[in-house]
Amino acid sequence: MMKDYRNLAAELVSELKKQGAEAADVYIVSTNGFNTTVRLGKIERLQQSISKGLGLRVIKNGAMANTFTTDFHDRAVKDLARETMQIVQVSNADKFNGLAPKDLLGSYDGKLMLFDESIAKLTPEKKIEMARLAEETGMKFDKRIKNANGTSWSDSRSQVTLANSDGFTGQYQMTQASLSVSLLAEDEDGTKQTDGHYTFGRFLNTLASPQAIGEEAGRRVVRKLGGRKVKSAIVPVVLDPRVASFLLGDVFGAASGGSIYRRMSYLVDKVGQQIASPMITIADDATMADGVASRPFDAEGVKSSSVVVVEKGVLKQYVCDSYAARRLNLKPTGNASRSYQGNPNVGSSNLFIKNGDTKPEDIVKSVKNGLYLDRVGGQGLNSTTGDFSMGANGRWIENGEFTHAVQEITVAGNVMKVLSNVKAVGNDLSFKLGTTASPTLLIGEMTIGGE
Amino acid sequence: MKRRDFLVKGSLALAAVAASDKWMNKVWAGESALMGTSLLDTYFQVNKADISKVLSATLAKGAEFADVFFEYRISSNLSFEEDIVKSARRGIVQGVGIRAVKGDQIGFAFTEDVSLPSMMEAANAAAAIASDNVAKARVVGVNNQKVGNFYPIKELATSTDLTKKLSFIKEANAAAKAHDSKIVRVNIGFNDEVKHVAYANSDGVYWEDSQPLFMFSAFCIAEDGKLRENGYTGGGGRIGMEYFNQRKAADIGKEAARIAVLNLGAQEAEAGVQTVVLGPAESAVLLHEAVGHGLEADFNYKKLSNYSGRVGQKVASEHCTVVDEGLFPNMRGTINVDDEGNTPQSTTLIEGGILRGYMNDRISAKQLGVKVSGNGRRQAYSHPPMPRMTNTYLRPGKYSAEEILKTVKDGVYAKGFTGGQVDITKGDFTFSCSECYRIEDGKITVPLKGVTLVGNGPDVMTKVSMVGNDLKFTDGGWTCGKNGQMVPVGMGTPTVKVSDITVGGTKVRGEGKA
Repeated sequence: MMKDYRNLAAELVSELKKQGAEAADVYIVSTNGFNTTVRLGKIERLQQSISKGLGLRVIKNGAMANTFTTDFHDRAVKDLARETMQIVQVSNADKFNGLAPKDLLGSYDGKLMLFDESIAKLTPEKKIEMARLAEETGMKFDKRIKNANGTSWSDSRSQVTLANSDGFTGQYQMTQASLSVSLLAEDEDGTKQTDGHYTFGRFLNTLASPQAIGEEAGRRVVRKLGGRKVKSAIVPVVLDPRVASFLLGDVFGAASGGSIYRRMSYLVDKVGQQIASPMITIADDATMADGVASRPFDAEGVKSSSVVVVEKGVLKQYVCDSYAARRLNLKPTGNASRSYQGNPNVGSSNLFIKNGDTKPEDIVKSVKNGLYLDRVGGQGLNSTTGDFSMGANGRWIENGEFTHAVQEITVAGNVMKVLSNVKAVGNDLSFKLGTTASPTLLIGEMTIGGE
Repeated sequence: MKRRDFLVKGSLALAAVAASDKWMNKVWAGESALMGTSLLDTYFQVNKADISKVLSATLAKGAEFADVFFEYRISSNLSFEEDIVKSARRGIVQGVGIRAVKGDQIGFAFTEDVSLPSMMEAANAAAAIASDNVAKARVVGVNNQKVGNFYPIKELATSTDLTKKLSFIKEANAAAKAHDSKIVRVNIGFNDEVKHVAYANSDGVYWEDSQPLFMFSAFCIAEDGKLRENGYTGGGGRIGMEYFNQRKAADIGKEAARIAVLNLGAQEAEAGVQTVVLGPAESAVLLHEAVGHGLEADFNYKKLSNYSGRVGQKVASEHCTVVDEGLFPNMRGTINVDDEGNTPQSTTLIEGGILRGYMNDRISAKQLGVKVSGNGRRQAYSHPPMPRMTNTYLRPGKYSAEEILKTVKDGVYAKGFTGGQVDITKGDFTFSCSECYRIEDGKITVPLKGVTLVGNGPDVMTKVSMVGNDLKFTDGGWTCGKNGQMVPVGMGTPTVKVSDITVGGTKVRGEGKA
């Protein structure tokens, strides 16, 4: 069991009030973590940690300040409270500062699968064994796999505690575990490729098996062998779920109240408008029973809910924490997220593009001459305009069949244009690779830069 | 989770800020020795006898080496938006990381609770990497080691009055707004920290260091009708408030505004292979990605890098000499001592195109049987060290920038960057421009929309056909990520011509749809 910090949080809130804060909240995160890396059968790293941090936020005369510390000793925390009240003097009044509306505070009372006792009960030996098994299975997948970057098992138990001066006090605990394998394969000519696969979840029984992860890692690295550039062209592109969810993450950022009131978004003034193909529906659901990002309340204590952001291509609403909501004269959507080191900000929970009805293999079959995009990389996405130009790799498709791996190319375009040009949506939505998830998407055309 | 190593520009890796009376009274490492006090007493209330106990416990199960890393980081952040201080923040993070090493195996544990019982618990957890059950435990002495002082500071930002900081922020804000009526939004950030470190290892070494880090940045949005673009710049290093003597706050605001307005008029770039001229300073992202990461020794003793086993071979054109040097005063990647007690050096990685050696830490140097280069760095007490770059640069050549540009009939001039990324196994890298132009008949002409350049490191380095005489280092701001750890780095390059590199654009040269 982890230490209960509800009293500490509530006492600190009263202390801050006593020292003159108009409003205050205290956010505490504590985490016990374990991590091991195995490489070529040998343990490379064993790591254990007990970690905690505490953040204070105050509002006085309309101005806001925050402080944080990892030292929970009574005197250190009292000192910090006093210093917070000093710093707030330097900050300026902003009429939009404040806590979340009282009537939205609370805990979601439906079933949430947050904490798995069986993860806490696993011995280090068992974890090492799983990592070894995953790597071994991957190495055996193909004789061209000759080296490995390492296979890591990680798990953690963490606890979030929040108290504010409107009487909210809440706390929840959660577990998480992941297993990732990364391998190297080598061509006849000595060219090396690397790739891997992973699984993660809150519950042990939701993770893919070590063998399945190892095998998939092997499949992925081997299919990169023989990768080459292609000619620059404008062609249909199939977005692998990982690439589609990368773009989805950017759309969420663009729909965040913080980006909207700052006018740093391509979705400014677009609510009610068609911004994507009618095949696209986007939702953020913090109440999915088995969702890895599910939680009873957000980082401001707003009760969790499910939010539809885009419905059949039409932008329905912006996602907001309480500050952005006040700026835009909207209601918070329960999307506040924060670390103990900072102020709340808009963040996603379980964010996804709704499943379509086409099998991913049928999407590939429908492409005469085009690219299957496995990965994009680099920082070439401009979130203000939606323009992107990124490094990429994938596989070429001819007459519905994969012909060869493609590397050292770029893809460029605009997020809104890509979303409007969706021609098919796969039925393969899965949260196994991340809390931002998408099915496979077919895009009518994109520009590839190569030879 | 694929191993990707990358570089980002901006304040992502930084956190909070400011000064209180209490903190101002606390002492600097250099001064503390004179005053007969130590950081250990001041910040951690731990004595050397306790450290010996912890190190002995870490060695108890047969580890060959143990170290303990104490950190007390004070950070401060002021965020200025819409002409007001939107958020003022400061924080203290303290913790201790304990490591046991056996061959290339690591046992590691950390805790924020710097008390003897917690440290002993962590030591026992770390010790478990070895399982000889042979009592090799020994009492470990801790002798003071002197470290250099490559970041002399006149006025530590983290101890500076907030109202004084605010005056620089306001100056930058006003300059950005005055630059052009198209500027609709200005954000100014002032981030600084000081990290007090005390370190001891089982070789009997003990040292202390106080590491300042400073960054001042400006972000602007420009609007023109329906068009909207942004511009960003920042600067700093391991320096104090005297930074503003070398670069005015107003100039930083103006520069961000200039880039935002410039990009409003940017044209779509053509996709495909083109000749690229890389401007001085920031283009060193290319070095960092194309060769830097691939030359970190951990990747090489494990034979994961495309540069593995290639020391003595030609890996770049004869114009290329690449050096990593952690000793430049006040630079962002500079360190007085690396995070496991080794003195940083000037390490020649590539000389006239020939690979000379790798950047290593204690473990990888031992595995390769070479001398340590002092590149063992860690993000914080919560991470074990590994080989990392410090300040990486390309030595200047003989051409002026003008001479280089003149040789290009049709190409791209890349000047500012947002970041880069590399797959060290194959060597394929990506780097993303925030300011670039077309070159026509030897002259820089129209601005191009932010493009990405991709290539293969070893291949591109052989295509460096001209190197300029105008070596410049980046002005702070760059943070390098590797295996989940972020560290501040510096880098530099003169103007460089690369005969062909793939440019990511939305237009396809000379043809319509394929």
